[in-house]
Amino acid sequence: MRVLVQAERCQGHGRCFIECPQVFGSDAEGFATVAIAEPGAELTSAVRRAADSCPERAISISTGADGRPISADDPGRSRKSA
Amino acid sequence: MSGISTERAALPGDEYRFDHHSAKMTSTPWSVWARLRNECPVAHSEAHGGHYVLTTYEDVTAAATDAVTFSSDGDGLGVAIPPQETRPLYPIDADPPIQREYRSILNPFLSPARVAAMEPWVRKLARAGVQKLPADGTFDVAALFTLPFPRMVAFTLLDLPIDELETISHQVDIASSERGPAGQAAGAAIYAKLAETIGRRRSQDHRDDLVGALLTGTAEGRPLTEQEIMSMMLLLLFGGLETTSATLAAMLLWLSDHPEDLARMLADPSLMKTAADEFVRWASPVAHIARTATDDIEIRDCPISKGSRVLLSYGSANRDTTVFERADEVILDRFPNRHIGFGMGPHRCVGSHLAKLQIRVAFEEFTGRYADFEVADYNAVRWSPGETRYIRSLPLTVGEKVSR
Repeated sequence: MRVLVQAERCQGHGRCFIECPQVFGSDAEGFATVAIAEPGAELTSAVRRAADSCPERAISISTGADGRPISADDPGRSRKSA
Repeated sequence: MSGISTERAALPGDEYRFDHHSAKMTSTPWSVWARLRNECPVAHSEAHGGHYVLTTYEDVTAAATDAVTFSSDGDGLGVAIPPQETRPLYPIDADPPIQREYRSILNPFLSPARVAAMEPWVRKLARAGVQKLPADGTFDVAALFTLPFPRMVAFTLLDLPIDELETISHQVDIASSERGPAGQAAGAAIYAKLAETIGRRRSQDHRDDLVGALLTGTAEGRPLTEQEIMSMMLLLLFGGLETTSATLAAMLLWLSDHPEDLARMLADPSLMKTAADEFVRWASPVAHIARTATDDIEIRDCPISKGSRVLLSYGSANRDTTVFERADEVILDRFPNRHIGFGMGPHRCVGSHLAKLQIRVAFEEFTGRYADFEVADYNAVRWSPGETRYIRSLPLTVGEKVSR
């Protein structure tokens, strides 16, 4: 499992590290950081909760080798850069 | 142009005569929001010079996260309909990229880590506020606690003079409740107090706090102007007052009505991990906020021309039953809970972590003293008019805990 925070989406709501403090942290401004980019399987459920808690859907989770995403990241949502 | 009717054809939504400042929208907005979500999710209203209003979670969140199409600056009009007298307030009335720069100055001082370190003095303020309340009987918990406590927190954060906090709190009371000369005078007094604080701090050594960050902050490669500094202090002051008070009072109201939930929270303090956000969703103090369309756009086949004012109903989005099951109930362990009570996108509430700390600490201190509480008179529960929905009067009858 590979965990990624899409920095351009993260707005510092801080919900992810409440749900899964082992994997997610926050930087000086409160934006999410990833402490363990490839957490073990025992953390799958906590990592999924963290991803599901993000109002901005900034967290993506993909499976190992083939990189196929296993967490919802809304592809239909347009995201203008700003 | 005699003989030609100048009456504009009604636009879809006009027939609902939506007015977010109306009394019914202040006290009982939910059925109006539900009707619009279901019948006219992109509605035009002729109120306040004419604007559109979005009420679904899908449309509101899409707009909030698209700061390019939906401008907060709006060529100086800002994020209130009608435009606020005191504007611009930064960063709320600014757009990226400068809005990001303003936020970079403020974010570190309201980050989760910094806020966690504030707990001791925030708790001291909460405890002091609760201790001042009557031991038993009936009192207005809004006037005596949920309104003053967040003020004390904000005043402390902004380094206002400690021996004058009560006086300034009183002035905030008047400024927010009186529209006429008395209100304006109180507003001017608060403004002067902030200016005095800036002046005092300029003459002192630099300190690593919010005010210090504003005094040394830069944007666009130059120091912040006096206007920018004052504007940000005003927003930090007012932005966290009624909003936080709203959620505190809404929490006490819900728990008064639902003793089963009070019992659950007392039995399991870890519920606050999800409950704080749920109270924010349910209360949604920032019920509405505005943007200006920067281009001709279409939402659900409804054309919105460039320059149009668009009101985003965060309050309606947070009650959208297609997203939130049992949306009108507080579900203490609701998950997921991607509410927009703290906003979304670049303008996500900078004080959200401090707000949640206050919610938890206020709950702990209030229930630490009182074993039970209930609304004394539902006819006396009063909501405020205006941009922020909050309870300004909440008579509770309380019973103190008996120590064994």
